[in-house]
Amino acid sequence: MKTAPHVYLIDDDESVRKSVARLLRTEAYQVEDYCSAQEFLETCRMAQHGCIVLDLRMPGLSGEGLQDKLLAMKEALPIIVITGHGDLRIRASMLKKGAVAFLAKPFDDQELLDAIEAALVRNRREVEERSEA
Amino acid sequence: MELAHLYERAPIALCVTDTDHRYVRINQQLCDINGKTIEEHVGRTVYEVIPHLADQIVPMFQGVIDTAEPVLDHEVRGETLSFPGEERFFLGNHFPLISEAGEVQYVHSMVRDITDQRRAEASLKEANDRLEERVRLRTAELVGLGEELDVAAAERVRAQEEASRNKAELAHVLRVRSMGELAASISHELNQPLTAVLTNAQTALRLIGKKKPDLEEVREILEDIVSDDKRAGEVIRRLRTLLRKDPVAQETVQLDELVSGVLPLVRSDALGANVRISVKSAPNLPPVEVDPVQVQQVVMNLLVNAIDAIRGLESEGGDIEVEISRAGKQGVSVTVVDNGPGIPAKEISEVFKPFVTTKTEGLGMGLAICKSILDAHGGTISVENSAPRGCCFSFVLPLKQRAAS
Repeated sequence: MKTAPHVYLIDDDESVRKSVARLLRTEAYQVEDYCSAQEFLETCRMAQHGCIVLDLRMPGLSGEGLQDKLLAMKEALPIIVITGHGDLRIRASMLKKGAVAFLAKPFDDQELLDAIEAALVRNRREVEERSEA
Repeated sequence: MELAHLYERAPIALCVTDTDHRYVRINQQLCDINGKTIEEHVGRTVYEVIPHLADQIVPMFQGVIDTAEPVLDHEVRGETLSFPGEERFFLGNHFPLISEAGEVQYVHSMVRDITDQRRAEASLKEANDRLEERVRLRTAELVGLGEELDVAAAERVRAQEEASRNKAELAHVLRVRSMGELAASISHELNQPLTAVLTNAQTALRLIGKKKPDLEEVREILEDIVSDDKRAGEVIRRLRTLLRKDPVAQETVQLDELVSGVLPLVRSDALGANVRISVKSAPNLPPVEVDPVQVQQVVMNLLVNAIDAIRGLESEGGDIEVEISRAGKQGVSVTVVDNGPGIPAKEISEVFKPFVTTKTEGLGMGLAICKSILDAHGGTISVENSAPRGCCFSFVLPLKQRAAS
């Protein structure tokens, strides 16, 4: 029996966090949510299989700052960005650094679920490549 | 005998019909649904007993007889004698009973009344449709607000045009006016609840599409939608109060009251960045004659900048002090001091020029607009770094407005 994939959700807005976590649980993902990038870095033990859904503008370390820190780690999980700010420069920069998708709030549920599936496919491939290497 | 008793008392509606669709056997549950006695059923056809539902039932019975295959989850809807004037919903499973000769002799039916379930689903769907409609209306309001903002911004730009000598810079300002940092801050305030409402509503739709919807979960979702909708409505209400005033009107106002009116608009930003804002006001300040909306925008912009400056630090929050006092005999000043990182010395003389910003997400429009507003009012705005850290913006408005040169 396979365990459900992990989705790590990081957003400082409680309403957004609660609603997105609920959507993902309804769709049978294992969700862990965090209200800041710092909290995530300090407390999360990331599973090998999963992905990260990340808000951009948060108090303290920003979404892009977290991406940079995760890139410095060896086994980073794929990132999906959700943001109310369509800043083109940050969008281009984060996609270039490997973010799977950059979704503008408010987004359609299917848009997010599709992006998560794409991220999980990429995650499985990367884990396989790492184990072969 | 026991089986007959069980059939009679089973908590599900049961009947057996023959190949002419005549009732051979029926239990009390189904009699209750049809509103007739056992005697009124046995020996009569479906057409005779329930004529208004027979067209939905007889062709299906004939199908079971012709194919010798059961029909499962067959839904029938319509009025019954037991509930006159009401549409009821029934779900039935129908099995062929085959004789030793291998032919279908009877159809055995089990029927469940699913009216309550259907109605619960319908009212949930309706509640969701209503909420989605509200989200749609709110979005339309937002678009309207955006247009009002455009109007306010256009007025601002026109004032700047009169005040500034650099027409080339102004053309650029005009093109990006609606993308100013103020609009970005407001859209952030509205985007969060709208995102939560949309995600919650869509999740509720997914839940009620399931075989056994968790109604308690759906109720919690609806409660969250209601509170987020109110939260968005509150932002819009505050904005309307700010924007509906005539943007070119000159009014006599107290600057301390004007500053107090801005604080609620930046409260959630301040909380999110763990920033305390304190206001100190000198007693008996004389009034000034200004366009209150434009001056509120200046105050809001300075506060948002100060919050952003502190937010960027990895420290434990910060403080903003706003002070309103007399500036000599001719004016009233408002000073905003933060304990953020301050502005690099080589950039401090540039901050009021368009497209100069120290923020990663900024457009560099906010302070340029502030300066244009003060120019148009015959006022001044200045900045200096304060010791030991942070910076201090202050603007002065004259007691009586002079014509802009």
